Amino acid sequence: MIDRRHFIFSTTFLAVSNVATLGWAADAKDAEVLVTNLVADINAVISSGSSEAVMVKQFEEIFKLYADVPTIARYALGNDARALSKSQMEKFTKIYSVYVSHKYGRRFREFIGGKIVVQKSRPIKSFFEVETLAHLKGWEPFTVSFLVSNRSGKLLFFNMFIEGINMLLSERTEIGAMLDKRRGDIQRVMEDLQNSI
Amino acid sequence: MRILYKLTIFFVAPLFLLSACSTGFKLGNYDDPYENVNRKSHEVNKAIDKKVLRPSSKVYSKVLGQKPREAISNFSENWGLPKDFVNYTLQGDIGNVSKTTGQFLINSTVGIAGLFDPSERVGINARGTDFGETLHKWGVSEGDYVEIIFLGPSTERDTLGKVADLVLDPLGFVLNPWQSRLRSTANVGNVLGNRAALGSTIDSVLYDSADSYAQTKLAYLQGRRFRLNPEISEVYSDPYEMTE
Repeated sequence: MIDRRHFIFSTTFLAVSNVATLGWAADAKDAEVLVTNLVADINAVISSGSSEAVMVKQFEEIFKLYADVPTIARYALGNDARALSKSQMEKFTKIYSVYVSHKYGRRFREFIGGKIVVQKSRPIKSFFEVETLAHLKGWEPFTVSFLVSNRSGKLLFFNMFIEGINMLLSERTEIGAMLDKRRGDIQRVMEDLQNSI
Repeated sequence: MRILYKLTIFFVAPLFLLSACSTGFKLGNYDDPYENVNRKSHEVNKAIDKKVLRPSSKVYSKVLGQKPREAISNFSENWGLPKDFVNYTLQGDIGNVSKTTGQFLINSTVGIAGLFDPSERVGINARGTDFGETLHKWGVSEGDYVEIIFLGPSTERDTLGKVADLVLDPLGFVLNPWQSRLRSTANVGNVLGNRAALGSTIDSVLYDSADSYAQTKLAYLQGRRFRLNPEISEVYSDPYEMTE
């Protein structure tokens, strides 16, 4: 129950802090607060001991709440995004959001017994980098960095690096390869993504 | 004399070749001139994983409990520390030379030949290194990406580093055949244990992605560059600045 309360608490806090950042520039500290809440929610899910199905569903909610999903989806499509109609893009974003949160949710599930701790933050270009350290049983602690921006109108994360491995780049490579295999047919990519969820 | 000859062949000669074609930093660059050959090795490696490594790692973790697996991994890592010691010395990294020494001395004695890792509890825990990193510290660029059968993803520099590490390992001169076999067995156990621990992450890259070769290459190059240069790991692209 504590987990759930914490989840709701940080969700409320997030909504409030987002309202507060609208209209004026966010700073690295705001980004750090966002990632602290994100990480608290992730930690709550991994320590909850729920089944994989429940956890993955919770990660889906967390992803919707903290990530700039449309920007991530558009980047994953790369140049192919231009050829899509507005409604196609919306449909892709919706399917992609569930697909990607399940995919990474399953990864985070392996963090059971571990925890993620926020280290530091700094501004880069027009966004912020928040560095965290993931402590997993039996492994040397490793760095997970989040890139945070308020360019969407809300303060949200748009990329994640696990030990230097760029999530957006892996995702663009993946969607690019899927498109290649289906001769650029985005409709079929969407169907297959939907089926893989 | 024979050792000196080996060193020249394996290590000094290719070093000149590599630095001759060195291009400095390659962050954000994933050029792949050997792609055709690499993709073939990748298929072989995938088959080895599917038929041998993956199933044996499952058996390994089923047969042995958490504790024995940990002990085997500790043992394997402990007896790899002299190689780290040599590399940190060559890198002129005094801090890590003493950490590695401390870790090795504590774990080999209090930790019963390295089966346990008490040095970690007292905060002495050097991060691992290799001759690929030593070459990097000496200014040798990574060269091109290669995927090699059995060895997996690597770069020209890091492959050379792996060969040099075999030659430079001080224990290679000290251990008798029986001890050598014991250590090799523990190393195999460590590999199986790691494959089991990273199970679904590796599975998702190798078997669930649309292009497992491309994903392996990206993950290896980025992970390696980050490890060698955590401060300037990646060229951050800004998706908000992209024209649509």
